[in-house]
Amino acid sequence: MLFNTPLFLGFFALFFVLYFFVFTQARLRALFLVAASLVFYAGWDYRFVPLLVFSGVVDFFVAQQIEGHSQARQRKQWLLVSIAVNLGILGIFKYSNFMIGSVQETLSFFGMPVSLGTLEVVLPVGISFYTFQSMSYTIDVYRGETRARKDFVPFFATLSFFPQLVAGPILRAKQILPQIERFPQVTPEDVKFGFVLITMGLFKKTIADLLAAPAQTLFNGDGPLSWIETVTGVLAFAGQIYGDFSGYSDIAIGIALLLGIKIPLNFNTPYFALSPVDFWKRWHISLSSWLRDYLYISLGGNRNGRQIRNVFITMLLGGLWHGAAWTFVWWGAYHGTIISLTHLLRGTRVGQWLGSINLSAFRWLQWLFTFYLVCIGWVFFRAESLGDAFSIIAALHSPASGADAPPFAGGVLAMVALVILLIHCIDYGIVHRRELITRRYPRFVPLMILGLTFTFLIGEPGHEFIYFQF
Amino acid sequence: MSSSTSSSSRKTALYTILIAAVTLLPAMGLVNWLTRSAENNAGDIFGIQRIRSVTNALDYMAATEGNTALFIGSSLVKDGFSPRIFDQAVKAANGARVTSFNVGMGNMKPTYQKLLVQRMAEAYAGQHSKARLTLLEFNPFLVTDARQAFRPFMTEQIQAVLMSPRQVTKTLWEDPERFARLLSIKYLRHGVSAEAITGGIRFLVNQAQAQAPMLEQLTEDQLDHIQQLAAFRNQLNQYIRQQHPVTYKSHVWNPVTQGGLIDMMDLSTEARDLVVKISSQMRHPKAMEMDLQGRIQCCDIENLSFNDELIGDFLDTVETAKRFSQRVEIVLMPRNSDWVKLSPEGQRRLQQMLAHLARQSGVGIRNYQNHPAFDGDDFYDVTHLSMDQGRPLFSRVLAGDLAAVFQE
Repeated sequence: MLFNTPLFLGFFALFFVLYFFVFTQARLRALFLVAASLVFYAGWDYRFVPLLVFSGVVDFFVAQQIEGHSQARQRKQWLLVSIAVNLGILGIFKYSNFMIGSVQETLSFFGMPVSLGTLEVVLPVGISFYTFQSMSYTIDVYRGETRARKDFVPFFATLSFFPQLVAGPILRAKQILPQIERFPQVTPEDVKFGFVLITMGLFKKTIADLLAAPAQTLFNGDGPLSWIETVTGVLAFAGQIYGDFSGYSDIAIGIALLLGIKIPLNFNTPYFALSPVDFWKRWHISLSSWLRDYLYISLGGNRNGRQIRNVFITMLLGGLWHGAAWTFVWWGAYHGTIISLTHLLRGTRVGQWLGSINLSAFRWLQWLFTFYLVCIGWVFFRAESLGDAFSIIAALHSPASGADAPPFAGGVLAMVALVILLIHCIDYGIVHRRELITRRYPRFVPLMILGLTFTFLIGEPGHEFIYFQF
Repeated sequence: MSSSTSSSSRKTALYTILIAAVTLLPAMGLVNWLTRSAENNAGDIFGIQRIRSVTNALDYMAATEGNTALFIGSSLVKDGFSPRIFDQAVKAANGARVTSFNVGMGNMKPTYQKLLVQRMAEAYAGQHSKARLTLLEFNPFLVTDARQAFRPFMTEQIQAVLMSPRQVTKTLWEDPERFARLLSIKYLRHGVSAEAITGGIRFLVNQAQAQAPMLEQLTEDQLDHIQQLAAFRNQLNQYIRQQHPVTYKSHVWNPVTQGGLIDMMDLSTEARDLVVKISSQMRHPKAMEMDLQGRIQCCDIENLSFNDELIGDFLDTVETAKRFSQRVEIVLMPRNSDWVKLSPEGQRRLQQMLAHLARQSGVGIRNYQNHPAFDGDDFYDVTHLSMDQGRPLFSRVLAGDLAAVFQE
């Protein structure tokens, strides 16, 4: 059940009416939220509902055990149970075939070809999101940052909360559990901003679907392309993944707001970043902050002179989180490298001198270089294989080679660039002009109507969100 | 957990519903208005008008008294069969009075044909009548694997238009997602799906990109030829609009022409001259070569790798047609053998398929693919019969072959 389909509109309309007008008692409402979330999840594949419930039951139970023990060793053992179960689920469903394939390739490389077969497993939608979310609960309880809950219903309502269940943002139990437990009052400002987020999210998604075509021409096409088409394809994918994922996040956050649940924004004009470090503070914020808080800090953070090592490991695993393929591992390693280099540079005199330059022209250069680095990363992320990725990167840096540019190629490139800018303008408004939007809401209604009309009129309503595969 | 929701919470919920109504309803209204305007004013750009106008005319066809004949098929039938010439030729042959209808439509895969024929069966059942004869075109290149994969974005919208409300409702239990989509296409969007609009834009951009280099390779003579053709067409359209203000829209099924297109007999001498010029200009070797390549790409027209699902749908279509027609026959339209040369494999497959269809359907097959009466000059492109020669000729040949049916 995709957000951008008439079915979801019908589902949410029915849910909304029942939620506010029938299930008015808090406990019933929490139960109803769980039931609706399970129906929503079953809409993808009902076979994986037990897996979601299992993950929730284990962590609910483990959190109580952690809190119930005072000895550090026992608390740690129970935490390891939670981590082992969640990573075990991920390992089986997401990484088993990747690991088998990698072993086969490695053995084959060393002249020992073996056939280990593959497992017949289907990747449950949203598994990477809800396992991470569930784990954050037990880790928070272990760290004493939140207390273990005695009531399973609100805990599970949090874990299975349908607006963000299948593709995030990844929530922390301490952020959302208290809200679900008391169902805070929805304010008119929440409603207004929620609608803006939903409308703009749908609009971004539609644009992302349109950008899919030039990206596919580059990454899935079979003919030789001109340099300008290669540039267009890379830029189009940068725009597609941003519009697609930030659109999904905005819709999820907007829907939650209509229910009075406040979820932090997940994107903040990422392509306006001035360094790779800055980019990760603006892109998929819920994941990057999760990795920072639960992985990077657990590895030691920037203590003991191990910052570079820890950054690299964190980004490498962050890449692997996205998908079970070497292209994602490379993407993670690539970002680990450029972030590490940024940190190293900052520690040098040259870096400090560069940091002291206060010229707008220099900031433009910083921005351009960061955007270039991020786009190179997207090639690894999107390419079918590492070989393809390196070929595309080589073509990107060879303007004189490749086929002749077809007519309108320059126009298509300009359109793609404009569209990326448009998505950023929307994002900027959402992040920085919330107060203005809610205060002068009637002025934005015509824009929202036009945005919705555009979304309904064109696009591909059945087109899945890219991050569902993760 | 707090115990219950306050009344102010419910007020905010009502406020939410109000805002949803204020934004969603105008947006839906705009979509409705835009799709309707596009449908009314932009010609049949989404390939749906003819289909919808045919479905609207089903009761009219079923209510027509006397000997009626339906010819259901693709654009080859739409362009290549004149009901009025056919009726006159039957009458001239043996004095039998018949009213035939052209039910040819572009993009008519058997999947759609099957649904259309189901609607026809309902219309005839509602009128307690039966057609004397139903001809079902079997178009070999529309039942190939390649064609099945061609323009997938058209599928949902054509099916939404052709499905009955009951069939749409049935999808609710099988695939709720699809149910909601079909509902929206059928009742909110005038049969025009979002995918069709997007797909159409992409298709046009791709075509423009593909054609532009070809245009660069064309000689001045060839470019002059294209410009001249466009000028002739504009002129002819103006004539037709002036002379037939009601029936000029070829993409709208019209009872005056019995579903057929404007014929030569409807036109003034000047307009007829233009038609002849246009047909001749369209047969320019370069244009024919490009058209043939297009057909090879989209439809596997030479090798004919048949698609089992489409063949199954065609056989279902025949079975359904038997319910509302006293006699059902399968017809293969003439092939432009000057251009379309079946490969040995294609020939073998076609022969096997015709034997299979005859066996499975139990109805007669009239195969005009290699009929000696037709040559390259009877077509305006590699597949369609021309208005000035091919269409009247085929209509008369068919009438000659079928006249006896109406005398029985």
